[in-house]
Parts: sequence; C-alpha cells; structure tokens
Amino acid sequence: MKIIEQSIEDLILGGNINWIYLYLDLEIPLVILKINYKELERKNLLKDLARFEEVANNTKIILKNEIDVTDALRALWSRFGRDKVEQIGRLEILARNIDINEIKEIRIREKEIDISERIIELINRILPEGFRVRHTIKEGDTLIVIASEDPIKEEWIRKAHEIKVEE
Amino acid sequence: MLKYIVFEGGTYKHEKLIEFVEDIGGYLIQKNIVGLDVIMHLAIPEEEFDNLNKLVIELKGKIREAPLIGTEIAVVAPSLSRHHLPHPVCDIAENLRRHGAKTNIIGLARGVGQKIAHITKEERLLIEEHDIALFVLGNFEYCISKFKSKLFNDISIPIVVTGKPDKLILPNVNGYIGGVGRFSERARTMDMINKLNEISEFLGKIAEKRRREMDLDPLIVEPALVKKEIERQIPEVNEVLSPNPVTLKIDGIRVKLPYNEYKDKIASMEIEGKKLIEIANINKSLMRDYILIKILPESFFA
Repeated sequence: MKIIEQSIEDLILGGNINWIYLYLDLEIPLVILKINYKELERKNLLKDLARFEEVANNTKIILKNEIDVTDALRALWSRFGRDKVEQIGRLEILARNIDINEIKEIRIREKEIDISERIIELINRILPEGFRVRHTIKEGDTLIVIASEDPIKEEWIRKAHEIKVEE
Repeated sequence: MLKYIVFEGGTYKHEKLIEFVEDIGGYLIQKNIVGLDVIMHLAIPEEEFDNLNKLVIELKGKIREAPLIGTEIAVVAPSLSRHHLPHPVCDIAENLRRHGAKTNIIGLARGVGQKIAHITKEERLLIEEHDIALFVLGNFEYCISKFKSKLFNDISIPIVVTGKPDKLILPNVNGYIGGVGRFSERARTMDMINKLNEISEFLGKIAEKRRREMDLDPLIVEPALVKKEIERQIPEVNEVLSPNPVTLKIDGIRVKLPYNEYKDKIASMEIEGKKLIEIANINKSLMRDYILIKILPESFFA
C-alpha cells in the first residue's frame, strides 16, 4: 500500500487517479491491477489551467492540477525572472507587478503531457518484477493489467472483468 | 588479534595518535580530513585498547569499535531495477560504509520472480570474492522462503538475508533480518535508521566471528601490512581514481590496478623477507581486471 502511495506521489499522479484495485495471489502466481484514471485535458495556456486573483499590483495564480506546477513555474521564471515570481503554496504562485493579461497568455509547455506514459511507469513500479507475462485491457477509464510468470489463462481475464469496485 | 576502531576528533595533534598506533604495531587504514575534523580507521592489537583510549581522551577525540573496517561486503539485489535501487539497497550500503565496510552493490541478471529466479556461475564467483554477502529481498514470505534460497545455496562465504517478514528460517544462511523489505523512499525515520544499524551491527558480529575463527590459524602476514607495503612499493596505486584503490579484506586485499600489467610487480614485492607470491595466492578478479590477493594461513607452511 505504501509503495503504491509513494509511487503515485513521485509520478505526480495524485490528481488524476480515481481509484486503484490490486488483487494478489502469489501461489498461483497472479496479480490483477485495475487503475481508474482521468485523462488530462490537452491545454497548455495558463488561462485554461488556473484561476487568477488580483491583490493590489500582484496576481495570485491558483493552478487546478499539481502536474502543471513545475512547468508553470519554469515558464514564468524564464519570462519574468525569479524576483517577480514566487511559489507560495502547493498550487499557488504569486506574480508581482506583472500585467494579468500577459500572464494568462503564457504557454507553459510546447507538448501536451502524456498521462499514459506515467500510468505505465506506475504499473511497472507496482507489479512484482518477476511477473513478466502481462495482458492489458482498457475498459473506459479503467486500465486492467493481468500479470503472471505463466501464460495468462482465460479464467484470469474473466476474473479481472468480474472484479467490481464501488466508486 | 587486531581490533578495528574509528577515531573522530580534531586535526590538532592527531599525528601523535598515528605515531602511537605505529609504535604498538597497529595500522592506519584510512584517514579523512574534513575541515578541522579528522576521521581515521585504525587497526590496533586488542590488548592496547585501554592505552589508546587514554590518549584519545587526552586529545579530546572519540573512538568506537567498528568490526566492519577491513571487510568488503557484497550487497546483492535480485536486479538493478527501480524496485530495489536506490531504496532500500543503497540505503543499506551507505549505512554499512558508515560502519567502516567497503561495499559493492551487485544486481543479479535474473534474480527476480519465483520459478524464473536464478544465479549464474559467474555471479556466484563474483559474490564469493567478498567477505560477506548481504541479499536484500522483498516483501513476500511465500516467495522468499520457497523460491529465493536457490540464489544463495551454493555460495561459500557467510550469507545474510533481509526481507519484510519479521521472522523467517532459511537454509544455508548465517542470519535473517526482518522488517526491511521493499520501500520506495529514503530511510530517514528513526525506526528505519535503527533497522539499518541493526543490519550493520549484525554483519559486524559475523566479521568478528570470522576473525576469531581465523585467529586459531592466523594468516602468515596481516592484510593491513600487505596494504601498507603495496602503497609504499607501488606508488602508481596512489594515483588510481577508484575509491579505496587498495581494499582491505578479512583474508586478503583487492588492488585496483590492471592484472596483466602489475601482477609480476606485485608478486615479486618483498614483505617481511619473503616474496608476496610465496605467501599468497594472486588471481585476476572478475570485477574489471583488478588483482585479488588471498594471504595463506600459517598452517600452510607447517
């Protein structure tokens, strides 16, 4: 449990994962991992990713998702310098004496973040290393991974589908 | 028998301590000066401990016993993947180094899984070049007890295993330390640091036991003396960039110089009136092409 929590934290996936279900039977051996996550909206402009509060000459930028914080800070620092931009909270950035319209138009990254790459990395970190025979199914927003040392059996796939998680 | 000690104190008058150690037939194994502090690894005859302590009190320094000084330990992980590195394997190795050991991390090519886990002959021989092997295994009791013992069954050096289950009885190992297992963040809480210290202390006891056993049939010369002579007679070794270019082991030395180029020079070195080749086996290490020296016991010449 601790490993899963820590891996989600390391990969900054906290805001994107709704739930994770792990079934483990070492004597078979079999692991079924179900991850329900939401895809990132493909937006790169700061005005689409945050809300803004004006306080005197300063602007407080409150980002909606933690995944954007590092890119937003990097973009703001390179444009306005470190003297004028400061991170004041987990999701909050303070910009001093900068025109709010200029801030809103900042593009924080050139490419969209591919969340699936991070989800795959998370799966690799959670699953035991020796379970190298894998079968993956995408069911709506849920990704199901069945892993074992032996060839995957039909009954395991059926079992994976049967597992219901109350949301 | 020699006693291995770490000295921590100021640089002021620390030469006096080195002089004392040399006078009583001891050895300075390693010296690090950090700012105004000096940390030294020393080996002294057991019976001189009280006299050394008096001098250390006079110099306002501190000493602690560190039986892991002069040992080379293999920290073995089932693979070199994210599952094992940097945590917990590097944390454990770092703590061992704090206790004076020289550590090498070895990741097996196919040590993971249940039925697929195995160790190759080359890996086994590489591990056997060390004094003690520490296998860092995972969280599941079923996997460790049923499948992992084949990794260390045929290894001839002392084996210690760590894993998550609190207690486990494993065949052919010198000890099992539970409560470690897999973790993915740095071991920084008091509980975890205490656990790392427990591992280092346990390995220290094994090193001490092995030295006591060897004391019944001691080596013809102390490895610390051979180390000192290599550093004196082969000055090229002082220019090697690898850490600890002359690594002390319980029954020998690892010299981090190319075997083909230096084997003859090392073999013909004179130590206490004898050539090194007459009192030791000199072989090529499986690690890079380093030189491995295994000193022979006195009974070999009886």
